[in-house]
Amino acid sequence: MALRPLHSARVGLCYNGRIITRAHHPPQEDADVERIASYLAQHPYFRHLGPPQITAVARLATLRTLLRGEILALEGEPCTTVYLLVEGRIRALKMSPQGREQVVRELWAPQPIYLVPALDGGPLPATTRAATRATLLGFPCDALVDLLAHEPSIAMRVLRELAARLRRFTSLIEDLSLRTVPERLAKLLIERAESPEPQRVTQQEMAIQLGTVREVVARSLAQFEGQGLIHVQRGTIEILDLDALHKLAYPDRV
Amino acid sequence: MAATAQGTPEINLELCTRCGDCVDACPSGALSMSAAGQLAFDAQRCAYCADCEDVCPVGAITLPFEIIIGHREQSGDGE
Repeated sequence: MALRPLHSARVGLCYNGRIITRAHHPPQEDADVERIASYLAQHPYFRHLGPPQITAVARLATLRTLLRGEILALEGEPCTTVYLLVEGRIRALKMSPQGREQVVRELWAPQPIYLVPALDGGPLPATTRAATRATLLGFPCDALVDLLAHEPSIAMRVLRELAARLRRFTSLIEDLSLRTVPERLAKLLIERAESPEPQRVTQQEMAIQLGTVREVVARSLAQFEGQGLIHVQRGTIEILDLDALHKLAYPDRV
Repeated sequence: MAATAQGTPEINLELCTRCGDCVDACPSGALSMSAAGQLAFDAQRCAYCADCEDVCPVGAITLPFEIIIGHREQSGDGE
């Protein structure tokens, strides 16, 4: 593929010899471009590209860092930038009319943020806030869309990500509409305990996965412990009665 | 049960800004800060309640759980 270098960041962003956006984009230091390129070379979307293409994509991106608690963007705003998380964690939040905040998703590297509104042109579906100090790469939406239109290999990887996300949300809808929090928690505990790749999990992470808040998770764990289903120690949740937990998690299979 | 290395909060000292918020938040006094700004942790006092995780402004503290299937007898031996 013919690839010409970026002529001037002041004119616009250039990929594969074409100017693809004229959005405001600060000129980048070469050191930043190198740093971004080295990250992209490991990223699932881009690692199959050759070094010149990686550098061209790196020139489309800007680095952004957030401290914990800083807002990345607000729900309802127009989408101008798609982000890739380089390090740290970002939480997507929805706010109820009564002001109750619900974390709907926790994102970590190398996940994309605001991919859907970048593609459908709609407003941002949720507010995003840094759960830890975080580093992100921002791509102007029109630059990303143009990149996908001209690089089917990247587009296919993005489609796979969206398909996996759709599958997760379908499962979540089923859980939220058909199961109570204790039932969902029982299912999560079994899945985590039986996972071939066990991963340690915090109560906050459990709450996000279950679509609830940490206090409810703590209460449900205490309830399970009172029923003799589990034993909670520092750093360990031991399942004592797997059969009873199964009956709770999958009542329709009993 | 005696605290194990796994049963203690994971504190990332590279992220920690020594703000002391976790020391104020800890209900059992397991965290303290020396005059020199050194964060100290007493595993015997820690109740693993996650209040420090909630309050840390830079996400330097996490209290993860490993979820395991126990092998103990169901008859109950009073532990």
